Amino acid sequence: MMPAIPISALGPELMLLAGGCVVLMLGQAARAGWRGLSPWVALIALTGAIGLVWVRPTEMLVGSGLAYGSLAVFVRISALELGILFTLINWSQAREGERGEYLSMMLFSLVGLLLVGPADNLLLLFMALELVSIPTYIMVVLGRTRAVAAEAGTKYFYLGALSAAIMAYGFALLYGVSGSASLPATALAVREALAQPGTLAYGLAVTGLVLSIGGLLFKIAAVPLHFYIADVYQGAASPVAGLLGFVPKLAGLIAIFKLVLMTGQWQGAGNAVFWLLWVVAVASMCVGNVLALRQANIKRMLGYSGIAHAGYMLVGMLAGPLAGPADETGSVGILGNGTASVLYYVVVYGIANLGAFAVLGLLRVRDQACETLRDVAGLLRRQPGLALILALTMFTLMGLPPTPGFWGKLGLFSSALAAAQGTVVPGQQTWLIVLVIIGVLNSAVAAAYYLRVIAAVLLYENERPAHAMPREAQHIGALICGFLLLVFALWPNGLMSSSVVATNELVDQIPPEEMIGVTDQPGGESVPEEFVVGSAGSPRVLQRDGG
Amino acid sequence: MQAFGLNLLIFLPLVGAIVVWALPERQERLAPRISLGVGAVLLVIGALLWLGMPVAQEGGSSPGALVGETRADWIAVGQRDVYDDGSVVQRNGVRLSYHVGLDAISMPLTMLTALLVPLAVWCSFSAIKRRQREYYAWLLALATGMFGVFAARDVLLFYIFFEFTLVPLYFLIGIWGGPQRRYAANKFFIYTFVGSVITFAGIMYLGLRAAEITGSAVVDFDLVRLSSLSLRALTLTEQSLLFIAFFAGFAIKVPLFPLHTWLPLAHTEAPTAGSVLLAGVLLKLGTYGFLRFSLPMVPEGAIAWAQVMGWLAIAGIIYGALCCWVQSDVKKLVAYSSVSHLGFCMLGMFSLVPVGLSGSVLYMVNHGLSTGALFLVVGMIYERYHTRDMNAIGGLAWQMPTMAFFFVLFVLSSIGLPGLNGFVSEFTVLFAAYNSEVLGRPYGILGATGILLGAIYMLYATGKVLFGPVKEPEGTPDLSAGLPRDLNAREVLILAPLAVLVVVLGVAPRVITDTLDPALEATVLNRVKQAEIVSAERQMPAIAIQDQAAFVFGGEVGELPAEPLSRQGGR
Repeated sequence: MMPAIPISALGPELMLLAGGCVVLMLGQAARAGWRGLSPWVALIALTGAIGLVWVRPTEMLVGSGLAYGSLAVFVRISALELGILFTLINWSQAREGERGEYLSMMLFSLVGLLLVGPADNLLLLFMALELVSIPTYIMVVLGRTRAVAAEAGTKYFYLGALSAAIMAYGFALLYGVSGSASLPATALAVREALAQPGTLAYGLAVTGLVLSIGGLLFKIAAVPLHFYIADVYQGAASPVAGLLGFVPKLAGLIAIFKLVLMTGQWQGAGNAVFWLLWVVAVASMCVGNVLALRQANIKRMLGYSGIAHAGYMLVGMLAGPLAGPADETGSVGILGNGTASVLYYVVVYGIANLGAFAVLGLLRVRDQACETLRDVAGLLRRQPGLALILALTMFTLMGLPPTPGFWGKLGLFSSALAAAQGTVVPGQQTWLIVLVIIGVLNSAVAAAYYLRVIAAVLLYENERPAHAMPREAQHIGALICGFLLLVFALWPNGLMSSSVVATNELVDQIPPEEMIGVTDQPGGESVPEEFVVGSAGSPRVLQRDGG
Repeated sequence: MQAFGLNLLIFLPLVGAIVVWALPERQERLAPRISLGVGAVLLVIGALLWLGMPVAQEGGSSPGALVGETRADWIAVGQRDVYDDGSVVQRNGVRLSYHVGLDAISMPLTMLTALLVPLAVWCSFSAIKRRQREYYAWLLALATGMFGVFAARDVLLFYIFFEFTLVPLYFLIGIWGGPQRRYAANKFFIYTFVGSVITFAGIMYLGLRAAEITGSAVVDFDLVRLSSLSLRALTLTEQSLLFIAFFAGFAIKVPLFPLHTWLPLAHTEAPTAGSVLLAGVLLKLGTYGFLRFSLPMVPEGAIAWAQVMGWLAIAGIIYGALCCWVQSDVKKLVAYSSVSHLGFCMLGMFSLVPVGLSGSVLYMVNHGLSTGALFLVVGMIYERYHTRDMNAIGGLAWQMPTMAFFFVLFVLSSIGLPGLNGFVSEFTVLFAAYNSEVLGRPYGILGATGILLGAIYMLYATGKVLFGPVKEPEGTPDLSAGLPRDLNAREVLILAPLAVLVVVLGVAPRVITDTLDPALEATVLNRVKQAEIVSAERQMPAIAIQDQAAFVFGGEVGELPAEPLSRQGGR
């Protein structure tokens, strides 16, 4: 029996929900004037929600299925701000005959994301994740009459349903291990089960974890559940594709964090989860980049590159939050905190991706949407501002210093290196270093195709370059994306600090390694040495205790 | 004041670039003038900083002193403890500081940049007629990157500037280059980017390892801290791998023999100013990187790989020279000669003896002067004849006597005629390689063949272009742009300072080496010596080494002597 959740704690979510319902009704209005109000409503709901977060930042509701802590605050703020950008970029869609439900779907999806942050109950986590995804299926097809959009929507939906089924099966197995849907309790039971190889519980726990993570790979568009992404990005309206690069990715990553970190299963070469994530990271980076290299369609290219970015993020995931040099209190800074680096990177990637799609969405060539390299050629002459923003987003995605993408990669890769240096787990060191090498080489490969866009925009000259639609809100949205990237390039401190703070909550839930010792001792069973080490929460802690 | 000057040197070009870019279209003709004005200011600031450098005294003043040192926290993320007295100490996280300053090693190269930038701007006056505002903006932005690289005292800051130079040059080649410009620009960008991301991985690893070794939770990338890590803590394997990581980025930039294939194309396609800065300054980013990072940070790795580096350098010297011999495009010839010349530079550096290192730095400066000048002259010919094919032109000495004078002077400097600058550095470098313990005689002898080949291809080209019967392509010289047949006053003024320096540095290289040598001793050679002791220690029982080390240092093992070692210590 869960204790009731005080309604005040859910203020921002309810605000968005109410806003979404109003937008849904406004979208049905016959008059364009009424429909034109819907972005205003969405904007008010989003800013109101930010205000509510500001007033009551955290509220721990232990045992209610929602634990509002630092992570939830980070998710809320970043999601709501990206939501505002997204609203700006979609400002005039409703008035111009696109369906008004459009923005309400965005708001519902954000509610899902806002609930993923604090969820500490398997059931609630599953529902929140589906609430993120289902509106996005609708957004892809809504108001689009082209067959390619219908195909994209269908693919997205079916693959999404499949992955949800896999994930649900995984969650069910985990529930079977623990007998409780509460995430901390489940994590504890899974840890105990994993300490006893050969038992039924062990098999259930491993299968459950692997299936859960496997299903979540769909959300972050990692190999092998990546097949939909290029079609979806191409078929969806440009701004929607921008949203898809952020909301499902952040939701999926946070869910993976919760599962992996709480069970302490992210490192150790003798560990199924480590290998799962390692292989997926490498495959995502390589597959994504290789596929993107061959694309002349920028939207498809950004889709494929999204796979590669998911791979980079998984590198940070493998590093874990405690990789780097720790001070006396055991806390770790951004360069050793892979989890914080991932959070930082998701936000930066989200902004850059959204900015690129915002610019693409604004451009028209012969009254057609701009999609290919040829379409954007010579943009500088006609639209210098948009051309520079597009170039900036590409440099950010490429990770050229000192763009925020570079700081993100610095965090991700150096955390992985720190994990390699600090580890005492046999075999892990080499594989993590190999992972980093593959990662940096991949970011160089990625430079080749991002550079093609930059070359098309800035280098080539075109008799009849694309022109931009006169839409102030969208221009402002694109401009803010560019501005934010510049701010995070020169002053990434704020975002970095807040992402470190956000992970504190997760770090607190990582099992201290003594607990494993305790669970092992009474049984008196001889657990193989490497296993104890493999399930250790933090190699640092281990070292300190040993010495 | 000096600090202000140095920061102005780094950021004034960037501000200038933004101003030039933002000019309204009607005012486009102001762009070159503003840029030249900025360039002139840079030259003055550079000269003032040079004059402000502490004079070396006998027995060595403080070689670690930095001109125009500025230090400010840039990205400091982590938990801080605030004490009662208001002082703040960062407890963990990352601390990347904006730390710049010039020492005697980076000063000559900064000065070279400050000289070449205004000349590159000036030489574009007649050549660039298209998209002028953008052109000068990128040119000035490139200057910011180059000054930043030489001034950076934080390794990550260095890396940021190092990568930043790619972007302006990419556009300079890709927009204003020759017929294959886009291919050349892409190849240049991706080739160098691939190498430098591996260097990036190495830098990250070393930064984290430094934190681990020093027991600090704050990860920083301070140059001094990273290049004074205990060599016993870093294993030989680690150092070797880190050396390879650094090698990946720097060797491509240099470019060292098997990795040079991007260079001829980029050079040939780039506009004259781009070639001048590419050859004059940007290639030195690689050699400077080796000198500043690879040698002091992972000296044992450097010693372990020194012979391989030596062979690669020699392969580059000979291969580059042979390539030059068969070129018919005179610009490509100068481009390949850079491969050969920078081979000498690397050979001197990895001889790991004092005279070799200082010759190597001298070589960087001299190559910048003479090759930069040759590119300028070739550009001037090209503006008149629209060809660089040596079979299509000839006997230009009769048509352009002033040009011929400069051409011959710079060719002679480039092949190392005694009395001119090239000789000093080439001789010292080969001398060092011959006498080095790490390299040795075969290296010196084989390297010397490069001088012979250099004389052959350079004089061969000179003969073809300047002497013999007059040969001009149809419809040339094209003087429609308002250029006279021979050089005009602007072009003479561009070449004159380089010509003067070619002679001055040939006669008095001590202008540079007097301050350079103590600085090299303190930052690089001491580390190499330390590494030699540590690596001997790894092979022999510790006791024996303690005696030996005490003999060498006259003190504790492992501690750097407070005073720089005497020059005789390493032969």
